[in-house]
Amino acid sequence: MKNFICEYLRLIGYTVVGLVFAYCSFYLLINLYHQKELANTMTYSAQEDTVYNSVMTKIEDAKNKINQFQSSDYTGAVPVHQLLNIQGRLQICTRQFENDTFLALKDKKELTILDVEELRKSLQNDVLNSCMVEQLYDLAVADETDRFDIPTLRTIAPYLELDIKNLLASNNYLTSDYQSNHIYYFTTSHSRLSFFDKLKLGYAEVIATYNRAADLLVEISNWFEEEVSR
Amino acid sequence: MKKILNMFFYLLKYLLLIVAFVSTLYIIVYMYRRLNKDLMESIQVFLPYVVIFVLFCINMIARQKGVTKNLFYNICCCLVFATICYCGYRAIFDQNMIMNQEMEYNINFNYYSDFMSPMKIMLYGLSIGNICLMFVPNKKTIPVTSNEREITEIKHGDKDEMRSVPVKK
Repeated sequence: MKNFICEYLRLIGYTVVGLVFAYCSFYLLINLYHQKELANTMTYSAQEDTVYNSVMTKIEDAKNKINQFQSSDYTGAVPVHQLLNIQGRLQICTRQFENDTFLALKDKKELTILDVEELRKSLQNDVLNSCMVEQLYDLAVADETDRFDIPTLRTIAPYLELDIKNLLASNNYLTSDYQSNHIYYFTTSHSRLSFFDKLKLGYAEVIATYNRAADLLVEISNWFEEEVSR
Repeated sequence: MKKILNMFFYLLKYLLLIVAFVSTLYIIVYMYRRLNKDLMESIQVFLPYVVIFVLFCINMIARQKGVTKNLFYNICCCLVFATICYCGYRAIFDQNMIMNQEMEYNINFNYYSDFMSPMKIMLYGLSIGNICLMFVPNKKTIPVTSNEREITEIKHGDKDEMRSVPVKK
């Protein structure tokens, strides 16, 4: 009877140790794979990146349109100080777009996940916070603040507000996605889509958001150009 | 060869146990200090280490061959402790995990706190396995007498004869 119990105990022991062995092997392998995935790099060339070049062109375009306005030549109905205020805001915006991180992409030969995260941070801090929220959001809520008494601005204001809110929301998604990159799962098709190739997809998302923000800047500079030429 | 391998893993498991415990202690102390939590609350993290250490001591003192000479168990222990060391290493040095840089703690507590439950499961699993493998059944050899051998041979012979008999319809 004693031998019988001992044999069974050994059987249970081997089963438990076997399960631990399997679980541990899985855990070790998935961690090794996760580390390898995160350490991936992507070959990059700014000259061949059409979206990056498009953003640069749009910023230059916006700059030219904004700097055309000379207060001494203006003969329109809108108070000049309001137009100067808007011009100043737009100039700050273009400078924020051309931040160091964004310009540094020109010299990059390869991108890591940290580069993409830096780019996302510059998008968050420089473009969305310092430009969109601090400078352009006042134009979007011109009706409520009465700071700008420009009828055409009131027409575009609701669209401007909507665009800014959409840009902020898209970056919130990116932030939560990147900051949780220490989490790994059992590989399902869903996790494969959301986790693997995070570097390439993340870069595409960030640069696309930059592009959309630059589009908005160009639209406002177009409006500004028309307004000052009346 | 098996003896050499067994001895190698047997010694390695003690070494890895120490490294795993030290890395866990380092991370947990920093984590609890950062969270302003009482270090006494971290006992539940270190309890499996204490249990397995006590069991290893019993194995060593009592010279339980069922565990100490068990190559599979020793390899499994090494694997578990190596995984704990590796996860500790990643929590401290893997800069590609964004939270490691974002929080500026120099240790990725989010990653390590996710790992604590699997760590406990593995350590408690090793402890249960250790306890079960401690008991070795006494294998008594049963002498086979010449008479018994003859009887078995005759029985086998009968079966062969029976097979050769044609079945009547």
